[in-house]
Amino acid sequence: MRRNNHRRGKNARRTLNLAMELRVIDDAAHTPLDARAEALAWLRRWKHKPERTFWEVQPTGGQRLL
Amino acid sequence: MSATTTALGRWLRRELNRNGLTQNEAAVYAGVASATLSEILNKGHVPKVETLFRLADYFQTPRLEVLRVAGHLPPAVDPPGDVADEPLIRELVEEFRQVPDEWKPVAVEQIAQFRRLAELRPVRMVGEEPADSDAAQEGQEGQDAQEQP
Repeated sequence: MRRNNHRRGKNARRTLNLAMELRVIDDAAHTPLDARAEALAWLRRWKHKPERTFWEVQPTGGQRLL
Repeated sequence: MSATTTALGRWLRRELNRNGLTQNEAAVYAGVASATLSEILNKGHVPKVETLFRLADYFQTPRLEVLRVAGHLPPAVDPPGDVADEPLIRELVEEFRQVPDEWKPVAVEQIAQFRRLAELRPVRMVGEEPADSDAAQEGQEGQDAQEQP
């Protein structure tokens, strides 16, 4: 039975994905070309091993992991 | 039924159609008056910010976006359509879409780290002299000499 607002979850997920894509675009647009290419290369590597992060902020400061 | 002319009315009409709701149902669920929705849709009225926030929260739309649609805020400075045409950004977004949903927040945060790192000033390593070290050193010595009596 279709209830009111039965697509709420799907719409919320779509909206969230859109918001995240906009944030990626905004971050990339405010990044120099070399760092942008570095981010693209990192994303291509990372999507095969998503449990590894590129950068984590440790209590003692930043730490580059990948 | 009169045509809606304002952007807010078009947004509200789109959300109602998308969720399959009538004006009265949306008014009850969002906690606003049905007459208010009718005025937004048919007369182009812009309600109070509190009402806008209730509608934004109910339709799960960012509050700032609804304020922008209602005309309370100027349009976005960087429209995404312009920068998104650049090849690297387009490739980045296409790669991002292939990431599983549960990992996307991590990817967003990590891509933001690239931006933050690029915004940081270059770090001078131990033993590496900055380009204008002589001028900076002279300026510092001059300031020290002036401060001492």
